[in-house]
Amino acid sequence: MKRLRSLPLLFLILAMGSLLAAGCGGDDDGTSATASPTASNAAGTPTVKAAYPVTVTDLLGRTVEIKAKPKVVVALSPTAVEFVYAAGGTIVGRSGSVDFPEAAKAAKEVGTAYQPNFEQILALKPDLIVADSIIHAQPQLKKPLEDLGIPVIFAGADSYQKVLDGLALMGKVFDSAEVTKTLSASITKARDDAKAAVGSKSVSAVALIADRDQTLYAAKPGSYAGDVLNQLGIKNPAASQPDAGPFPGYTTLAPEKLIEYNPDFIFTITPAPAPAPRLSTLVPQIPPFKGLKAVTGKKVIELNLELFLQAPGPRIVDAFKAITAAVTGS
Amino acid sequence: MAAPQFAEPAALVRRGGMRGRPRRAVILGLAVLTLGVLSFLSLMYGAVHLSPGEVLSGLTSDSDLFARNVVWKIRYPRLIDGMLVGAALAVSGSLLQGVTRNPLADPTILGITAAAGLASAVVIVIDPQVPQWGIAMSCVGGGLFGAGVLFFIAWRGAVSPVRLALAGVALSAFFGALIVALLSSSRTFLQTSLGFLAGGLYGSEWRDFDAAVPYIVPGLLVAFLLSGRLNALALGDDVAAGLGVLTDRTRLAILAVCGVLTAAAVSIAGLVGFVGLVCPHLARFTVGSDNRYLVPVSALYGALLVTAADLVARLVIAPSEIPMGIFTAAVGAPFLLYLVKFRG
Amino acid sequence: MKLTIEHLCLGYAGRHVVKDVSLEIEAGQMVAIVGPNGSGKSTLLRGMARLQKPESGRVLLGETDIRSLRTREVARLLAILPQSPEGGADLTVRELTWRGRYPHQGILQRATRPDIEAVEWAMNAANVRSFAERPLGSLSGGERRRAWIALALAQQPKVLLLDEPTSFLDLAHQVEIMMLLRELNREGMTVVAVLHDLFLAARHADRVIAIRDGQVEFDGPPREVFEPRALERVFRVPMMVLQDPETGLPIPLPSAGGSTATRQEALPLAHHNTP
Repeated sequence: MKRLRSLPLLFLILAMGSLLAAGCGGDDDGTSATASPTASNAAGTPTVKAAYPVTVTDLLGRTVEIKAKPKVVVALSPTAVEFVYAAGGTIVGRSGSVDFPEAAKAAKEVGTAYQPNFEQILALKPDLIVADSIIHAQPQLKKPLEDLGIPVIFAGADSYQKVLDGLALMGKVFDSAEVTKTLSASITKARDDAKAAVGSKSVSAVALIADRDQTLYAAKPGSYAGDVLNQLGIKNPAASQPDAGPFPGYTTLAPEKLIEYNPDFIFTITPAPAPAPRLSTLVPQIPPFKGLKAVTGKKVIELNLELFLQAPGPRIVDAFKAITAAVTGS
Repeated sequence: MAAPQFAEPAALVRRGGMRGRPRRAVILGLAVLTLGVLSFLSLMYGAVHLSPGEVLSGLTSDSDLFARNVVWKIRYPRLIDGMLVGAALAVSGSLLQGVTRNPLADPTILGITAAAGLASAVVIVIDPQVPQWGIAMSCVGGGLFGAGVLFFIAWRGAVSPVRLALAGVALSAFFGALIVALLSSSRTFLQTSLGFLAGGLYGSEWRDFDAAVPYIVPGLLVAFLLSGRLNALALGDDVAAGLGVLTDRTRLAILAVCGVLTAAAVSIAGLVGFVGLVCPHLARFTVGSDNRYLVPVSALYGALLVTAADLVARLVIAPSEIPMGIFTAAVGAPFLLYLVKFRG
Repeated sequence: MKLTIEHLCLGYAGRHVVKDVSLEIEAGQMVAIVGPNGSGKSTLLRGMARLQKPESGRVLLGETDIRSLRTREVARLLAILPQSPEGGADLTVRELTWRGRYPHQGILQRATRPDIEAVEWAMNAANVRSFAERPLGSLSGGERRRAWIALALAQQPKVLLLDEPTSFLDLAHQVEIMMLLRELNREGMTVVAVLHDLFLAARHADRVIAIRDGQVEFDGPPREVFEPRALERVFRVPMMVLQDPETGLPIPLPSAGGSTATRQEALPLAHHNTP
């Protein structure tokens, strides 16, 4: 009997959801691979100073109306948290393992990024949920989030361009387009500077992660780390590999392939926490890799896990700097 | 009114040869009571604790929006989903144990769970945006396929328990390997795959309920209707046929019901193990082996076990959670060892 | 109730086990089917009880083809007890007996007065009351056999078919089972039993049907049909037939050796009562 009562409710939510979904086309941003120096265009026509309510299109192409400036915000991934702070917002709730910015650490933890706890989200009584358009896009997570009855926007990044798009979106949400525009411009500038410094060297590099079985995966331009290399004009021999393996944007890399590529640089990212050995110390110890250019020249370099894998976002500036430093040897 | 020739209540007590009906009634009453208490606790406790008043208000009105959201949108559907999963798996297990005359039979051990899980993994990998009813439907297809394979292996019931269990283990391993192969090559399923493989109710909601109910409710009803025939079948095929049971047709129907029930449970909670193994045995301790009682009591115990396991799963490391299936296995595996050691 | 078998052929996977057998078993008869191992006598019994689909021919229960009746309807008229039923070890005798009511009960129907009466009668008739609450697995062979008979009796059949109801039982239990069947038969039940033991068949049956290679070798009252040459044709072993001094019934026995003639000479030696 109780069930019957919930039916119309469910119907309403579904109907509204589908209406909203039908109301907006895909917000495409197919420029990530060939970003121009003036890439801040993705912020769209300046509708600055638009008083609330404001209607925004999030990175999943959903149209969401923000009725007033969000004050009580829950952000469900490191990227989402950084986006909020970049746009001048603050959060009261966050996913686990958020280390940046410092101010965000005090916010209440509401489950993990991959398993947000809906009850705790509700308990914080937020007026906005910022979910991750990469992590929470699958229906098992997206639908329950949308059903909570709280405005939810999806913003995440797996590329340089998505970082800019996310900032533009958050600028509208928090009515701080000026701030985010400035930030975007500085990100673009950092990219251009780094490209100038690195591009002239004409180097090749792969970025590797490994799973628990020490199977190696190489970043392709479809991943965040791969896009960072790509943006700087670094040749990535793994780019042409077909997708393989469980990690989106990465391809399973057979050891023979790495020997065949023999890149100038090998960047490694180690997902396992500290006591586990870094991949950058493991790779040179693997016998077949001992003769590689990058190994003999000590160019196997560990990259920061957060900057390149866990928390893509406005700190992409630091990611550009890290690569530049490694390549130019400064 | 003529004096009755038989003392009716006494005769009825003797009817099923039930030793100690009062004891049985007490245990069943306790089980129902425990389920009620656990249900209410499930609505109260989680990452956020609610008072009983808030739970009631959340169940019945919109006055407290927070309680309404937590109770009505998150906990209540999850509770109901869990009960359905438990009942479906336990009934499926009791039917399988009866139809195979094998105390070790269980949808997981015989590979039906894995077959349904494989179908679910396939559609999710093909289309990550597939609606829940599509997942449920393909699960049922997979479950029926698994049950069908089992039917042809166990045809005419002439298969020994050992061979049937071996065949089940083989099927289970085969489908399980395909699932892992699929998951490890998929790019959409990685992070939810743990909850799927171990069996859990994270994020379970009305959508899952809506998609599974059209299979589980008729499945349970048909299971109860078939339980009398299962009684006859338990005596051996020739005796059952002599009693007027169409043995092959009945076996096919029972296995199909097992396939549907298991698959619907998998569509909600993934690969939950041991519920179908443990609950029928617990039910047998309580009400004996008359399937007309055993099947519904198994359903009750299944609902109870899953509700308890899910409550623990949500509380142990809140606000994160452990897949509920780990706790059903934690209860089930020692029980299986007990069976092996003491009940042969 | 009369059971008529018309040109019945039965087989498994192309192998013909029962070949064109026709029999009429009159209501109230007590019939023993005898024959060597593999002769098709058990298959014939299964065919009579519709457990095995005929390749050709038919079985009539009363006037009706058994295949045209619903199987539950058949179960209310005819009960069959297989040779060694495997299931039910954890059931009590009473629970087992109750399962014989299956063909009389509707899907959701609770136990009715006739159900209760039938079970009480079956347990009394099979003489299982003293161990009614014990599980089947804990019983001796004879007790267990009686429990299964109670199950068949709870069906309240007009025709009772049994496959070797006395096998693996000691002498006392064999006699007990046969007396029980005789008693049921006196009350009007048609009883057909496959029997291994020729002596029991001679002692207790009105009529003995001998099967060899799926065909009827001889058929008639034991006094008339149990004669050494006929038995030899069936069992392919030298036979002699003594006479029971109390009842005058034949006692067939395998011969110790020698020719048929010497055995016939031996016959009168046992006739203490013969003038």
